[in-house]
Amino acid sequence: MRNNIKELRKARGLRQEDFAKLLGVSRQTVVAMENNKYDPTLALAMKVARLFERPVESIFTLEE
Amino acid sequence: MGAKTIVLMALPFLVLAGAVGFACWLGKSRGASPRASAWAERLGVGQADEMERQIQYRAVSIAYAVVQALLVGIGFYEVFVRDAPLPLSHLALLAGVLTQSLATLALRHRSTVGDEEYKPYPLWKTLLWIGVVSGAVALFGMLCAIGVLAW
Repeated sequence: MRNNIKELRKARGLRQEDFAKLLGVSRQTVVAMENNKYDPTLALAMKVARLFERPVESIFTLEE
Repeated sequence: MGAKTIVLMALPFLVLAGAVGFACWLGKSRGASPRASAWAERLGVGQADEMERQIQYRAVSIAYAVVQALLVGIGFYEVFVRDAPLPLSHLALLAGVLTQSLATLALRHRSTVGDEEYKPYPLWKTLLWIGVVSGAVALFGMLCAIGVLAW
């Protein structure tokens, strides 16, 4: 799974640490998600989507 | 054994008990006590989030596999190289594998309760089948061993 969290976060002027606090996860988790090293759970993915006010599928894309 | 030796031998256990106690206190009162929160912040101890839990799960799985492999290796070495009886550590291995199997069955059963399209096989029947098959395998093995010894 790939995502564009990094671009969306930067567009909002958020630091990784602040973004992590808003999501209630560690900064390491944010780094791993941004580098596509960690696929978040559905709950976390929906939190991200809610934070960016976008549908989940516009942030996360499933690789074939 | 002198008193000094006993004290020296007890020291590592005391330190370990102290560390475990401190970790428990930190984990329990991190949210409630400001002092515990400050200590947690200072030590960089945070609440494990979902990625951390996944990492821990993977690490534990690897450690479990290593322990299994080591115990099997030790068992083979003791029995076939040193001609010693089967070590008690094999019981730990068997207990671990048995716990894993039963926990998998029970958790899977609990997760599939309420299946509308397929009635799940009752857990007790599954366990009964496992007991019957294990018993049959053990009986077969015992008969083979008796046959070999009698031959």
